[in-house]
Amino acid sequence: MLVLTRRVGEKLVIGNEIVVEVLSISGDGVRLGIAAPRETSVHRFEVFDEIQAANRASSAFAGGKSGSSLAEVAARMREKKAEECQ
Amino acid sequence: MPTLRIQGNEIPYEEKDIITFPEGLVGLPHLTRMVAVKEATIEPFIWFAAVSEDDDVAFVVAEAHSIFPHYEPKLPPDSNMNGLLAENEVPVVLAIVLIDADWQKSTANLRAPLFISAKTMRGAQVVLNDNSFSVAEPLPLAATAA
Repeated sequence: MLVLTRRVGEKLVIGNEIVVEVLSISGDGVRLGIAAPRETSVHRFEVFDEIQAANRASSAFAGGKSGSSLAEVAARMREKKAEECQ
Repeated sequence: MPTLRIQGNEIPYEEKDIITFPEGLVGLPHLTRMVAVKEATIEPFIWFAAVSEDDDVAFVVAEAHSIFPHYEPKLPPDSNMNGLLAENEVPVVLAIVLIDADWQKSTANLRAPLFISAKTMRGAQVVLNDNSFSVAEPLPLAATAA
């Protein structure tokens, strides 16, 4: 991992386009400003990690293991909808 | 006609059915070309399969609003959907579903839904700012199956 020291108001560049600026420091919190191309998503790591894990768990299903569970859940979803329409 | 493999079945699709995700899905950047496949036995779910030479990846998704009528996600102003929608277009919003081996524990990801333009056939998985939306929202299921 590259480690560098920056002061408030200083910036760094990632690739050719992403600019990160240290806006302020307060206690153990650091406020960052990030300028990135619109097609580049920026996320807090915890959120990214949680969604990445959810995506991977959901795609693993496609291998086809719990096929009976899928049909069961689908049937109960349809039934629930039918109940609500009554 | 090209085909996709979903749970061992060969499903034909057409080039025009492909939805392009320019940045892939979160943590899965290689999934840039996806096809939605409807199948009566899994309705209201829809298969959402990757067009990929290497592996057979498919998700189970659902049209989010039809399952959660009060779910109205707002696109963040600087979201990765910018530029993918046609003018004044209302996007299709799909939630990725996680089918648990214990079916009662199955959930939908409402925090990071898939926004899709039916006009441009492009889409993005958008991480919503509103953290009251759950990554694992329990599905509304009937106690008994019909």
